[in-house]
Amino acid sequence: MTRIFRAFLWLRWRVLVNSLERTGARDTIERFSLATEKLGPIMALVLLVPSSFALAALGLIAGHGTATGEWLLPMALVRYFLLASTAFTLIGPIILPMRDGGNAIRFLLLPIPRLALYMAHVTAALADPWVLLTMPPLATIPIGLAAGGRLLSAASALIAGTAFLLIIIGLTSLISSAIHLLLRDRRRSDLVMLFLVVALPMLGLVPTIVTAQRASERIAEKSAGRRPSPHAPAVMEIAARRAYAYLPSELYTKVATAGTGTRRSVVFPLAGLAAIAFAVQALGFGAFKRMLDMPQSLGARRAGAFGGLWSRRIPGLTPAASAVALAHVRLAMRTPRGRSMLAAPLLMLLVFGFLIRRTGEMPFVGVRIDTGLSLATFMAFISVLSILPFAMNQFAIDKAGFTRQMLLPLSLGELLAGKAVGNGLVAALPAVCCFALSAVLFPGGSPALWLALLIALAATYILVAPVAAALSAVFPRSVDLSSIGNGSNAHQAAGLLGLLSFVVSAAPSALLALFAVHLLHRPEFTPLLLAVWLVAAWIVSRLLFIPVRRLVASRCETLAQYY
Amino acid sequence: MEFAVETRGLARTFGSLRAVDGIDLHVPTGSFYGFLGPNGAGKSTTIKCLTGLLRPTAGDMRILGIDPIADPVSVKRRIGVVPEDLALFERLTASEMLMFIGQVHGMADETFKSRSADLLSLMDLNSAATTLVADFSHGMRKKLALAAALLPAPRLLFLDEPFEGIDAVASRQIKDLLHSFVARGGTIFLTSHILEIVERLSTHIGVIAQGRLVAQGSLADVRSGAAVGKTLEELFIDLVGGERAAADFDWL
Repeated sequence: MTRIFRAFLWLRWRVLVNSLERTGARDTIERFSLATEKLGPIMALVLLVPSSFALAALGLIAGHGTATGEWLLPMALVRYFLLASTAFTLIGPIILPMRDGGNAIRFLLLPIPRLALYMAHVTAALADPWVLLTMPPLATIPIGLAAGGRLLSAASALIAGTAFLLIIIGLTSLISSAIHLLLRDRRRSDLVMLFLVVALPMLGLVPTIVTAQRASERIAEKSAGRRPSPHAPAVMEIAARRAYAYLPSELYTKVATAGTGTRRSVVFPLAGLAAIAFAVQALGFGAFKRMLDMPQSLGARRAGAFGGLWSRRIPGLTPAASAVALAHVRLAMRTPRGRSMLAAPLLMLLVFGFLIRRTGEMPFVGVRIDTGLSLATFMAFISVLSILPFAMNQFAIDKAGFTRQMLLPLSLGELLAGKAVGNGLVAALPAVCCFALSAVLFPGGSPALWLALLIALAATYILVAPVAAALSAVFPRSVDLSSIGNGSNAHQAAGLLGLLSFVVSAAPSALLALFAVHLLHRPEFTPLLLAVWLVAAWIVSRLLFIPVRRLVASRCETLAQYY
Repeated sequence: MEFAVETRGLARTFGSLRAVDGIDLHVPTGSFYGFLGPNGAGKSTTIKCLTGLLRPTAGDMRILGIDPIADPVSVKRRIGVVPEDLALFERLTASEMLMFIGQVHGMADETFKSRSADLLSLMDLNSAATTLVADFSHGMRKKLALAAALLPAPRLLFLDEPFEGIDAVASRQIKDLLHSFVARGGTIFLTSHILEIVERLSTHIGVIAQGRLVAQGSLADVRSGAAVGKTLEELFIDLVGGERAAADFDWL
């Protein structure tokens, strides 16, 4: 068993070192691109060391403060930190691609017992950052308690800490195995990922929806001199409080803060922690064994023909450029990430619409959205913004298909035009839907401004398109668009620069609209001003595409080998 | 003699590695040219240079009489390629993939439909026409890549290991198809590790070792330089200098 663990430890270490040392870069730009991509993880790794020391010190102070009863705040901080760590354990394996349960399947070819494989899988979770950061306070709280003279509490906290650690590493293993089982069927995997991509960001809005108060009620409460009550219904609050008490972080805190002579207050939470640890590990082993038994992907995905839609040519484009644009849209709409670009803005619009109807307004990051036009503006720009992960890594969606395009009679101008139009269509679909829905749900406002919004969107996208092509060529990143989170995002540098280019491209439209409405007091002039700007943006974009074409030409060889 | 592929001093380096070291290829029009070499000899790099995926470090090339560096689109309009990694769109179906190729080549709808039906039928991919390529087996992918290369009716085919992973029945049909392609004046540039296939199909061969062309000509000419009765395998081993003592481990 020790030999197996030593081999696994060496394997993980070698994989980490090789990923940092051997970049396989083919030119200077690629070396730079890879280096910037590694900057984030390296910085996180560097920050991990002082963070661990700080958390160890916090644990020590919390233990001592609790033992002497002089300072209880540090223990409260540790309590919330452990709660956050449990939450990360639940969502970490979903959003971070670093843990892949399926990797264990290849070890089935070696003479290793399944229990040993499971133990290696579970202990591998100790290397996850949130688990690494959880260990120092769990280790130092008992020391602090012992230093404060509470030896029995220290021993209990040590056992509770071990159980807590077993729970979080067991949960990590259980969730990664469960995800692997869930995604084993490719068709189901796409659906699950689409649900997660759309549902996870929406979770943040749940409290707002639950506590949303009708505008009329709020006005009535205000006129009666009462403060508006932001509370959720009483039943939900009671249920949440009861469930909260059984969270591992709460049980651990109860053990660590229990005073001397209160055996019941220690035994029950300790038994609870042990029971949860046992249940999580048993379930984790079961899921892991099932994953090993059924590793293969089941089911083949079929696609509808969409009639003659895809065989048509987009007006204004050559047949080849039109084919690239249509293929781009089709490929995008077949990935969970691409589908989420359509579904998420529409869902957001419906939620925001519901909140505006109910409360009269929807405050969002300091901006008040209370009319159909403001909602349409906000959601349409969100729609364009949501394609950044695609647009800033636009060749990655083709994967090996990029090489195919290099083998076909397709000029670079046609390829880039096709990609720009394809991305535009992907963004336009949700943007136009949001625009139309907002107009239907909340009609009113100046028709000129509604028209101006569409022109502003077009001008913004036209300027972003050449920048997106350039960034995709300079910072290519091999991504899995079936996954969520970092695994499907564009290169960090491309994402950041793309966001900046979006802001810079949208600024002239916003300024022109403000100029017409607030300085000239002639909103009806806005479409005209923006139409002039649209023409200027079109010319600037065409000019920008000239050096971008040369840049992409110089990178084609690398890109063809990259994907 | 007219050459479909002609290179002079073609070279490609990767850092200090000279993957292709100044080769002069002469592939006659209407020939079935087998390009042989051990692993890492430079076969795929040569094909990548000829098809425009890699820019040569030095040398000149003419593909069907056109300079592919100066006019790549014209060359690509006339050639079909099955590359080493097949280069397929994972999230398109087989028929969509063919439709994309047809659209880029500017084919009329009726032509595309009739040709793709023929090719899908030949490759036994009819039942998988609406399945995403991501869910294809390796053999099915290879067949689709072949269909994609044949769809625009090219005059020159570059095939990198086309028979690897393909079942015997389809392999036989594809070989017949390639024979009739050559008989109608088409040219095939093929790399394969299976020497029996090259021996049976090729009219001409070229042998590359460590980036250098060590033999080239018609199969009969290359053979005539070797001892009588030698198989292509023996000839190949002689040319690339691969004869080694048989491994005999007493622990095995």
